[in-house]
Amino acid sequence: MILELENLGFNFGYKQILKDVSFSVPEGAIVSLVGPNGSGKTTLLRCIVGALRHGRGRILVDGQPLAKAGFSDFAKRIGYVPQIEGNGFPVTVFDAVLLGRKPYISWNPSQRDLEVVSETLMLLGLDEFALREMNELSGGEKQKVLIARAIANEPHLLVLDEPTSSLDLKHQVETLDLVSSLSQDRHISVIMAMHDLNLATMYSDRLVMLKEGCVMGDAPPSELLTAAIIRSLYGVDVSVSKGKGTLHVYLNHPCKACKGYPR
Amino acid sequence: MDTVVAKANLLSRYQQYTARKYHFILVLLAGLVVAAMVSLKLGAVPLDFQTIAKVLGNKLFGADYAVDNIAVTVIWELRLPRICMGIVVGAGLALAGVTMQVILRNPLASPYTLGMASAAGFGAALSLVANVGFWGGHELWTITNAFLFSLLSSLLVIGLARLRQVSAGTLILAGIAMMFLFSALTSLLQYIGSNEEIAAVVFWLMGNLSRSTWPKTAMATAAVVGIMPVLLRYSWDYNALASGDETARSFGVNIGRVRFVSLALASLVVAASICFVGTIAFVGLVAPHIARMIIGGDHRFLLPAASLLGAVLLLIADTAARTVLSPVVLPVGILTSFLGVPLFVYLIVKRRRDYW
Repeated sequence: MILELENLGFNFGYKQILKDVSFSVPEGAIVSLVGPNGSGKTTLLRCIVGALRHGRGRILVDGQPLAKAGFSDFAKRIGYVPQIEGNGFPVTVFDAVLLGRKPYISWNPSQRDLEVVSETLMLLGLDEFALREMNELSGGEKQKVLIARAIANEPHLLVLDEPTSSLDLKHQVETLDLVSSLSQDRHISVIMAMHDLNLATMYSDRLVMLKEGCVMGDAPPSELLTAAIIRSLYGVDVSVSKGKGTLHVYLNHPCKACKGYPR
Repeated sequence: MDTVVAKANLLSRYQQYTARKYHFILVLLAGLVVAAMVSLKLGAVPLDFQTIAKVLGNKLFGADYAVDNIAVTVIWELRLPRICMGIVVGAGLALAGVTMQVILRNPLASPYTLGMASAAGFGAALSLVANVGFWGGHELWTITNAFLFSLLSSLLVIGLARLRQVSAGTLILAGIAMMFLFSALTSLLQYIGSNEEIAAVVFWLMGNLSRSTWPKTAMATAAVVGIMPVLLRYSWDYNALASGDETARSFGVNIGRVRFVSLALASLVVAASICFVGTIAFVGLVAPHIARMIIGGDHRFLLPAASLLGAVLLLIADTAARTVLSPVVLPVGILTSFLGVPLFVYLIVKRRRDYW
């Protein structure tokens, strides 16, 4: 197991955000966290990458407990792709990806650091932007840079927080194709928070359902996704059907003034 | 084969990009030396480079040239300490500016964001108007007061951040609140002060380097030179912080400690600078931005480059302040804005990019 969570708890003030969360991510697997807004997905991911200190329980990465303060040893094992960050100070794409090598660099980046960054940029087709500034890029390109930064770290585990939330359909698919091919080629395990159940189903080996900080289900998508469980998770009426090797979730929401499909 | 070529190409482009940063720093260093020499030459008493070289030779290398005593006094007692003070204060303010901007992740942050300038002003006014202190209105007490109050203000704000985990935005708001508090207090002192005292306070607030002496310059230098390496060592942490708290934490940066140490040290640099020269506002805001526009946001290069740029800017501004209306000497605080704003606006217009 690359990642194991044991009875994880997290409180924000008096509010319990995570309660007794236990599940694991096997080697090379892609696991998606699904659940409504506020169910604790982002909090859970932040605990895993060491951006938040969890309360009760343990997080094991490669079988070793995650130290309370994020040490750079763990920073080497985990690549983190946060939701797209807004208006920081300008930074070129190359330097942004070079930051992914930070756990290996003391002052000057080594030749190997520079080579890894170059290879990563080329792999993701970002080399033509290498010396452009991040805030000149489109949303899809920015997302790629963040992924490049995370894998420049050469991690065992890739953690993505809603990687598709601000992208159009084409870039959603492109990004997830990239993640799954990286996972396959480099045997990187992936845990990502997802909102789109159809995409999560297509690209994940397992789904972990979170509701109000508790794990409601943890299984392959085909076993987990039923109309009943989705209704209980989101409170929305759906139907689930099989098609072309995957499941499709359709919204049955009674739309009072539907405009897209004239009767 | 193609990929090998493409990779080598990419690497060499990046190396050129890095080399540009080194060149910029070297150009600034050379510019600083030239500016210092020119500044030594210009002034109410005109001197030639030969005399300057002889005096410096005598003083620095123990040579024994025959030189005019007036020239020695003008160079060694008046101009050189003032020039060194300008360099050190300009560098210190720019250094603190870069640090404050990245730590608070706000382009509007400056060395005075934590209310330090108005607090220092109040401290000085307290000594100049109310004669508070062991030495009454003595200059040493004005300096001590300014130093202590500017540190007090920043420590109150930083303490607030330690007490409760507050966001960078809240820190800036708290700093602005401090600024209003201390300017109100300074206004009160000016209201009750005599005309002469008010003039002294206004003069102090404008900032000028005319009171520079070797001991004062040495103290300011010690603070800047001592603290700069510590801040430089955080360069990669700053690079990580610039792209977000969460990202920085995921790279193992102990944000609380980096933020506390950096703010405290930057405040110390600022306090140690402005207590001697008054509030010289603009350099600390604008030098970091100009340097960032030219060489980008890698703090390994940005910290030294911005410091050198701040030194050059303040030195040129002070030389202009001494010479444009000679023999009238203008407060340098006025000239830094006159010089800095056009440069700043020019760069903004020229870049046409998203950010600036």
